[in-house]
Amino acid sequence: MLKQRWAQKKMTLLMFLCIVVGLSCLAQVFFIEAKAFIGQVLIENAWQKSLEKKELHKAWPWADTYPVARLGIQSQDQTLYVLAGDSGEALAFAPSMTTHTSFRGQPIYLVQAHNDTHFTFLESLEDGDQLVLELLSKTDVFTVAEKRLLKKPQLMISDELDTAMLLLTSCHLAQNGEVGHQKRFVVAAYPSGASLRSKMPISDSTIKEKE
Amino acid sequence: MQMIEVKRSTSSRVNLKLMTLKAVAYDCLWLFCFVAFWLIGDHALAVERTLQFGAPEQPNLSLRSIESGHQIESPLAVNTDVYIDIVGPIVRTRVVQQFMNPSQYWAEGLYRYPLPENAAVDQLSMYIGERIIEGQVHEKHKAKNIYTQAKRDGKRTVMLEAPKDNLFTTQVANIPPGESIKIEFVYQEVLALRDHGYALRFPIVATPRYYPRRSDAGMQQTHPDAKLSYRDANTPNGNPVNFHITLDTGMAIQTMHSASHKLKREQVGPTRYKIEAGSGQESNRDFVLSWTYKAQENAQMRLFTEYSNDKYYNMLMLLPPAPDTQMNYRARELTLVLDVSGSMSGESIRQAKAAVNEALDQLQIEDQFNLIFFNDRSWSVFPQAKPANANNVARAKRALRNQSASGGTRMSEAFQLALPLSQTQEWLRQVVFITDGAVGNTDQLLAQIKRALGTSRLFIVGIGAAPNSYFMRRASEVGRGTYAYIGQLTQVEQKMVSLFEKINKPALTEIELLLDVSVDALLPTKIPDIYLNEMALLLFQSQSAPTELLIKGLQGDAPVYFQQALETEADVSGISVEWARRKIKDLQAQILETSTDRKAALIDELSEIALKHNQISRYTSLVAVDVTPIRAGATLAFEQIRSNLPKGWQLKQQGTQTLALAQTSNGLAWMTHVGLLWLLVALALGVFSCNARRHSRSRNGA
Repeated sequence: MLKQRWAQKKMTLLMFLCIVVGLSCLAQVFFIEAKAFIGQVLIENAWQKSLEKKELHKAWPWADTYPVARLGIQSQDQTLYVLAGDSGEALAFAPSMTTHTSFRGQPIYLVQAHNDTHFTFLESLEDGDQLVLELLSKTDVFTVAEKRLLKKPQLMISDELDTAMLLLTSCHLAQNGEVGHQKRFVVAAYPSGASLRSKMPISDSTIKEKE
Repeated sequence: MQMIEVKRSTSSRVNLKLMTLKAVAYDCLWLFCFVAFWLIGDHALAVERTLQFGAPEQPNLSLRSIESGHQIESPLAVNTDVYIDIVGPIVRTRVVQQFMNPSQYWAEGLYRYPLPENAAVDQLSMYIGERIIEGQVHEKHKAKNIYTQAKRDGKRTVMLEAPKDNLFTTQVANIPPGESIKIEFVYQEVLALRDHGYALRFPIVATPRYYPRRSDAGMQQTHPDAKLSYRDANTPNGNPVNFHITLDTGMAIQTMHSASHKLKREQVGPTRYKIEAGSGQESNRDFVLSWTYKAQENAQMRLFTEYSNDKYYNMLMLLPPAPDTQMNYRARELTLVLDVSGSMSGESIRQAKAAVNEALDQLQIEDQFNLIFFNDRSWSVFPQAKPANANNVARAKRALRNQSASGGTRMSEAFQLALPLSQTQEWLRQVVFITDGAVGNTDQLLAQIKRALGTSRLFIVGIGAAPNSYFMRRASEVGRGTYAYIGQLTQVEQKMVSLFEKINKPALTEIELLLDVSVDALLPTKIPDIYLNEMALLLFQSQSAPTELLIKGLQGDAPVYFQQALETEADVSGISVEWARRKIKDLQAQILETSTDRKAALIDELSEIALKHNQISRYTSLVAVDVTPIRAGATLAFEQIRSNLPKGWQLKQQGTQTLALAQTSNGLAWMTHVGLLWLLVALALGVFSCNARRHSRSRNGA
């Protein structure tokens, strides 16, 4: 009799344990979503300040990075505020951008974000979609012209590239849950009106070596 | 009887159930642990990844030269002869570059090559037959104008520029078809004594790389190094470099060898050697020559003096005596500051903690110490430095063990804690600052350090792809300490431990110069401590030649004096050049640190010193122009001379540039599923236990 009651108690305990674990998972999800959402609000404020004073402002005083751009995706009716760098800390709050220079001296803007917070729409972008990248100094309109799935988290850019380029990348959606997340989805956009000389400026490392 | 049997059977059933429950519980525990680890681990992994991706060296890179005008079929070639004259630590190097133009066009050549980090170029000449045309130093843009004008006028001309990163540029215009132009420049460097000897390095190749740079906008950028253009890896090495060296070692040497080249060595005096080296095959690696002396028991001092521009320029070489085992230990106050921000998580924090632990072990009973942690806030283990007794050390170790890495990076508060207003005079106060952080507000931080430093020595350890090495090097220079950069995460512990061992026992501290003349313009402005097997080089000006040298310092905690009468062997050339080089470097650092209004004045001061001492710098270039025009009408072809690919390098992905991508998935969908699954399990358990209860109650009722 006593043993039986003990077993039942254990069972109840186990049940509560399961509930706690389950809820903590969901809380984690909520926490990540909340961070991504609140990040955008805070960064929006900082960005407005940056625009007014024409100098960079941190979104919160202990931040490791600064807001550097605003990205408008017209087809998705979305506006995203972008932080500098590509650190895990920055990515938790907002899409993050690093700027590189192509062989011919043109800027390459590489914007990365998580595929389940800010870049959920990435794989549904279509060729011809307009992207508006507002930097502190200027605003450029880019047109989506190329989409590609990469097997490895690295991107090769041909030295034939002769215009500026905006790259949006994120982990491949179908890979969620797998360990490692090797595959990346890349959307390349070029300044509206620019004619491309090279056919395939971005590529997988594996593809390039065969050529 | 029956009742008992029934009971037994139920109890065994319960037992069985309990056992399965136990198994399920174990499984659940494992799953729970797994989920917990996954939640924590995913974050850590993401951070570590980005760190790897941010690493500065990216060998898969090829570059194109930017060429304009005509393309030359048979390329220009450069033959380099290097004449090195070494007296003690002073090295004067004469580099002769012969630009050969085998084509039928008039040519302009551009050649980029590295020079030693401490090289100060102060002479340029161009040879035309028997005539020698001396180059002159001008401000950079003026030199460029002179060069361009001469080029347009068809005169033979050469310009030498020193852009950033120790890559120098020679531009030679109007090389007649089938002929060559020979130019020569002289630079000087002063070698630093390490481990009882000197190592001379003449860089021949520059490795291709990306430069991680912080742009003005504060974002991190990587630029492919578009300045260099490489020869195809399959072609044999061009641009041979030959070395002709005379070496006066000053004292009897113990060993001499070159790890890079074959040497032809000939002894011409008791301490004098003639050395020849170099061939085309060996021009894809840097030249290294090293020699060592026997360990010295007494302090060694040497003063070199040069009279130039109405002033005496002096260089003091000070080598502390070999450590005495009887030497008194000078008690230290050691403050360890450890970055525990999120980016340190993983291997960095693990190894840094191990190294700090080791440093705590090395503390002596008479030492004082404190341990400070920082991320977005800063906190210390003790409110102020405490004696290093077993109790306190154990407490610090416990705090260290319990520390994990999370949060952002804010350094200013940590510096405030580490450099308090009231500092000890009694102990040697050392602050070791360990971080991997990017620093944004460097000017404010440097100002803060300068203000609060007091008597402290500041040592900085930079870990990983820290983008702000400049700040860290400069801060440790200001703080009379050293900067250790650790790029490889696997070396963190080992390199930090060797730093701790080094600063454990400085050979000579609190050094003061007591001369019979007044010392002006001393560089470095504050005399640093000297560590084991290292030496100090001090440069200063004076109105008359010093005749007696007295140096005061602390060896352990005992004051020592070194005295030496000087014979006026006044004229060693090159001291003023070395003084000017250091002054230029110091000004350069100040220019980077100051706001706009003082900047112009500092640039003027730098240019003035560079022009006076005939030195090229970031703001001044050397240019030489022949008097007579030789080209009229014919077009000029431009070509950048291709460098040899460093030994062991291959440019595989020709024509592409690689960008590394970060980890960009939270796995939210999966995590939601897992969460719901657990709730489902809970529900099932609830139903099951309800059923079981009802069952037992009904049976009890029966």
